[in-house]
Amino acid sequence: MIEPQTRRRARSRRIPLLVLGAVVVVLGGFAMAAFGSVLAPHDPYADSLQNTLLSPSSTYWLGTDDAGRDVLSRVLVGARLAVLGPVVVVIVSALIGTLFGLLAGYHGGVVDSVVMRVTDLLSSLPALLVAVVLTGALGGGYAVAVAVTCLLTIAVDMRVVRGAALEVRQKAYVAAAMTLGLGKWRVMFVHILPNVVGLVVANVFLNLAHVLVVLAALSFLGLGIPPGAADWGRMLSENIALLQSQPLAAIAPGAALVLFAVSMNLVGDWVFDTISNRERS
Amino acid sequence: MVKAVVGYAVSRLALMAGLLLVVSFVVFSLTYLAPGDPLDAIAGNFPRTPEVTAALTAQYGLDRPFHEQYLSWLGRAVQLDLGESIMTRQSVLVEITERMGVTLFLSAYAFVLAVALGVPLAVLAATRPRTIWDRLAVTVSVVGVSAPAFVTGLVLLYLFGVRWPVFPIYAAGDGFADRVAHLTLPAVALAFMALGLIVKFTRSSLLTVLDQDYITFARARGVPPRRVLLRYGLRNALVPVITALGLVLIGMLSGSVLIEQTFSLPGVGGRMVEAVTSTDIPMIQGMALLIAATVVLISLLVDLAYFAVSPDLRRRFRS
Amino acid sequence: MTVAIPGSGPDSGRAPVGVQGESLLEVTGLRVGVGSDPTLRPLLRGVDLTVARGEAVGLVGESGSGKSMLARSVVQLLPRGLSMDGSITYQGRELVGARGAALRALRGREISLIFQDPFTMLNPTMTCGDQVVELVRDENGRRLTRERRREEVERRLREVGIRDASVADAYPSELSGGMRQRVGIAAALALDPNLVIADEPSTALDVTTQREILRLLRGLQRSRGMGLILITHDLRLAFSMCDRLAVMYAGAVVEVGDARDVAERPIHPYTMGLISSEPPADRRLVRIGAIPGTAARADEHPEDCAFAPRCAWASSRCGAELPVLTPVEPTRSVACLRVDELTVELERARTQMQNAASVEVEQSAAGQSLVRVRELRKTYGSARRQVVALDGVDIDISAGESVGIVGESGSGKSTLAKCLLGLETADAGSVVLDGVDVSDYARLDRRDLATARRTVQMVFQDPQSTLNPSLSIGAVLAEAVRAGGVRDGVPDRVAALMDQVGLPRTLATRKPRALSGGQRQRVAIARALAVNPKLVVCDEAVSALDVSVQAQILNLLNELRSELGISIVFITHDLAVVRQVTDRVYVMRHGAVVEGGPTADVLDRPSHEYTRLLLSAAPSLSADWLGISEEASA
Repeated sequence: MIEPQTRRRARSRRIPLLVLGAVVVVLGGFAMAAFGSVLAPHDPYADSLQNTLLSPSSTYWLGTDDAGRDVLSRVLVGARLAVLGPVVVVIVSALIGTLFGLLAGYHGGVVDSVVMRVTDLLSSLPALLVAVVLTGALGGGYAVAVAVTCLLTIAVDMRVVRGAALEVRQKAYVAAAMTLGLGKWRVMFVHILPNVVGLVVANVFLNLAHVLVVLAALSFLGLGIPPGAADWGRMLSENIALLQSQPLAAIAPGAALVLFAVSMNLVGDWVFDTISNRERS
Repeated sequence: MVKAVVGYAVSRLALMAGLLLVVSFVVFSLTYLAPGDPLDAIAGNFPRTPEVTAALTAQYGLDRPFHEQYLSWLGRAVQLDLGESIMTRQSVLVEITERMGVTLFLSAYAFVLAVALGVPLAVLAATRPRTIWDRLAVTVSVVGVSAPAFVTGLVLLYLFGVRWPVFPIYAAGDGFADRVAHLTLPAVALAFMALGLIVKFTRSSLLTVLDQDYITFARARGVPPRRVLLRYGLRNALVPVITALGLVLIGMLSGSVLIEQTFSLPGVGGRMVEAVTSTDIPMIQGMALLIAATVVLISLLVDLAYFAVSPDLRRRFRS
Repeated sequence: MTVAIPGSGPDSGRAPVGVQGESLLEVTGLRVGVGSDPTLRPLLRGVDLTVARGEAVGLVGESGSGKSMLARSVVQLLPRGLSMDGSITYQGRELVGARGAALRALRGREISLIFQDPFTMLNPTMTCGDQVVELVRDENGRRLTRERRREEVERRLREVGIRDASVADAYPSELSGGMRQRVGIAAALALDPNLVIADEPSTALDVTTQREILRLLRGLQRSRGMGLILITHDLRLAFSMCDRLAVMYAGAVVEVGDARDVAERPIHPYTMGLISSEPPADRRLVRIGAIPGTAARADEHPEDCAFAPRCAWASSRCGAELPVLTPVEPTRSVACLRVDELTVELERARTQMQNAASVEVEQSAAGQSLVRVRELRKTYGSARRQVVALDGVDIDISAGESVGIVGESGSGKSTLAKCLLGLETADAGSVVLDGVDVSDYARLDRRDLATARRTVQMVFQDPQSTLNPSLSIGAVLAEAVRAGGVRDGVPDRVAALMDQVGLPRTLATRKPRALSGGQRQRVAIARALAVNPKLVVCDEAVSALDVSVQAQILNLLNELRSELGISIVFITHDLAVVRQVTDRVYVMRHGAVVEGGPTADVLDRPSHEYTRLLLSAAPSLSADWLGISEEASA
């Protein structure tokens, strides 16, 4: 039985290099989403029949696609569509999921178990397919896809927060706050929320990566985003046929997607590990 | 013992039947939620004379109340009569079963690959922290969880189909050997995603278990290391592994759709995308029911597996 | 399930070995530390220890003293990331640096380890019988046949006092803690080791079970002639179980000697302090001889005496030189720089300790009734499996009175406390608090609820979870002060509260993480006092603390009570503790009060057999506490 202090000291406090790198990539991704159209060296939608399928050069760093559009510019501009949806989904679901998760965890009882059954069900469904079926059947575009993903993500967030809140609810300091006669909202927001908020943050990053991939997959399948748009998923599916002649046109958006998702997962995992280590000590 | 298993399975099945019922209701409602009137959803662009309209209205009972329509639809669905595809005018059930072969083969191939590679890698990583195995496992789990199957597929397609053409890249192949050859790249891509989850869950679960008192107690009593690892370590780490396998199986549903699209394979997934892009409602309904049934089946298998490995669960159902 | 206490009967695995003195284990200069150099961040700083065949050695120390680390070093099972040097020899074989096969030949066969927590040390997916005999082989080294196996399991379970054969097929989760500990002992002894290391083997168990387990262990040790290292934080327990004692502090042994001798005549000031911190069960002291401050860590004093900052006799030399363990008598070694100079002073201190003033309990005239509990009932669980927590409890507490509630786990004592505080609502019966019926807090109107909340407050057991980790100490107390209706001068009131419970005001800006367990309990007490309550309920408030800190908190509670005139309900399993802080006591069992009365009367002349059982099970300084006569070993 190793004493707690030792365990804490044995672990290094500094942020690993890899995670720092991941943070940089995530920030870079957001910067691309914000300023991609400014940074883009060419017009991402400008067709040019003279410049089709060019290999990478100093003018076209990543070459051009079959319509002669600059691949790099399309990847840079595509970041906005790739990031915007996930950010909206994740923020909305973190807010709603945390609130309802807190309420369920605080109150417990019948309401809690009914709510949990429903979220269990929702979070066991394959998010992508539900989105595919619903966007397909409802004929809607991007908005439907975002709404469906949001609903499923809320379920995930609720489960996580509710579980953590339930655990904190058992702690002596919560009982002490209640015997002091503090109000329900004060107990929830001062004594429970700050001790589960780290988990919410970790989850924001993990969800961000997941939603990013789900929405990209939808547009890869041809749903949500109109054809020809500068969108990573669309570029992938439309440029698969170019693998022989200009592989970068398909691989570059794929690489951007993976790099971004990996980085967000790394950050999320790190936050999660840091919290659980702190709790253990 | 047998009684306990049956009792458990029955209780789970009841829950899942309820779940399927809810899903079926949502699926049926799609006819009404889809843009246009229900007749559009059923008949599509079929040239519509008044006679045809009348015939379809009578056939599907569109003039009857909603709940009656639902019940008769449900009755037909239970008998596996899922209607006709608007696009091809073929039975939905027949189309699905025809295409099922490729999808099942692909998924099974990928699942076997992922388990056969993932579990040993995770065990190596958990027992040798801070070695190359550990790093490899962590990398595989992060990248596997993050990288969507269509990107992995695309990269494999480029590397081993275009750059160094080792594997065939079109069609699904006939006969077992040919099919293995044709489906290897898609299966590897699909397995990579699964590998990430399996390694992540198995490694962390085994690490937690290896930290337990009963492991140290076993070692202190002189239990041989191999037995400590398997009978004390891995055996008690199984529950999260089963969870991961369940997630992987459900993930294969979405994964196979993406992979079939990437590699243009004639599987159920590819058909589903066609159906969705052309708003082929009966086909979509059939697919949705298939997905729901598969999810239910997988959860049942997962629950039975939990039951098999957990003495506590078994005891609770015995009494 | 029936449990029998084994003697040195025919069941024991090996003939008693009478020869003592032959050295079994020798630890010399053992250092363990974090990282690859054991001296950089040390946990053990050069420990020497010997164990002879058939000898029981007690290893005593507070948390962080390194005693568990020593146990793990002996079987070479240190947690990852630690390293060691020095020497550990078992019958002449060097263990430090030994690997693989050589170690496995020793583990279980020669040296075995028993763990503290019976709930975590058995494999949850293996039946108990399998775990007991999985390593046992027949004469030819083959696996046992089915029948032999069955026989062997039953014999081994009988040896640890389990007569119920169905235990063999049970999974650990189906058994009680005491049963699991017995199975664990049987498994640890399966290969008939010559040396057993028991790491707090009874700490996680109830007092009555604790004595049974220790008696079993001591009986087996004697009948098999094994060496035993008993690791414990409980001095009384070590005195009665062991032949020799080693007292550890901050990663080093500070005193070694014969158990009885050390108990009666401690030489190191720390041992002295430990013994006087131990509340006596037979009388109530005015003040328990606590050691000030908190235990030092092993890496805090590399160059001087680690105990000096807490020592009453420390001189300037103690802060400049590292004491080493030196023989002062044939059987006694001490690591104290001033051991020669202190002979007279320690003698005086010992006499003082033995004659410490006890409180003459005056039967105070019953004051105004503050709490009146009648016929209180509470049941947990579903209709299928019910657990009766409270089964018609009657309790009375007067203003200014201190009342103890004593019982083992599952006696309902904590549920009773929760019902007083409104953290649980009873199924039936009534709780009247200062004239207000608070049987159901949910039904109180706003004014009565506020009154009730300011009338009674609680101090919880676990110092780890009693404070919100995200709030500073000052914020915790300010919140509590405001909850009491104070609007102005909150900071002054917070400062006054901190003074009152003996906390330096500088801690107000710190988070709970920076505080020791004792300091956190002080904050918890201050928080309870913030609303000026008439009653404070302390639920096992000192049981998670080290004995020296426990004494500080008990003294504090006594002071606060006489200063503020508040009532205290003190819930505990520890009879010696309840004696120190209460006027009256209720003894609870299975949700019912079995006996109640003035504390001294109940403890000196118990009328209920359960009270007598509890009293006899509580560890005392005498060697025959276990009920094993000394002759048995002769």
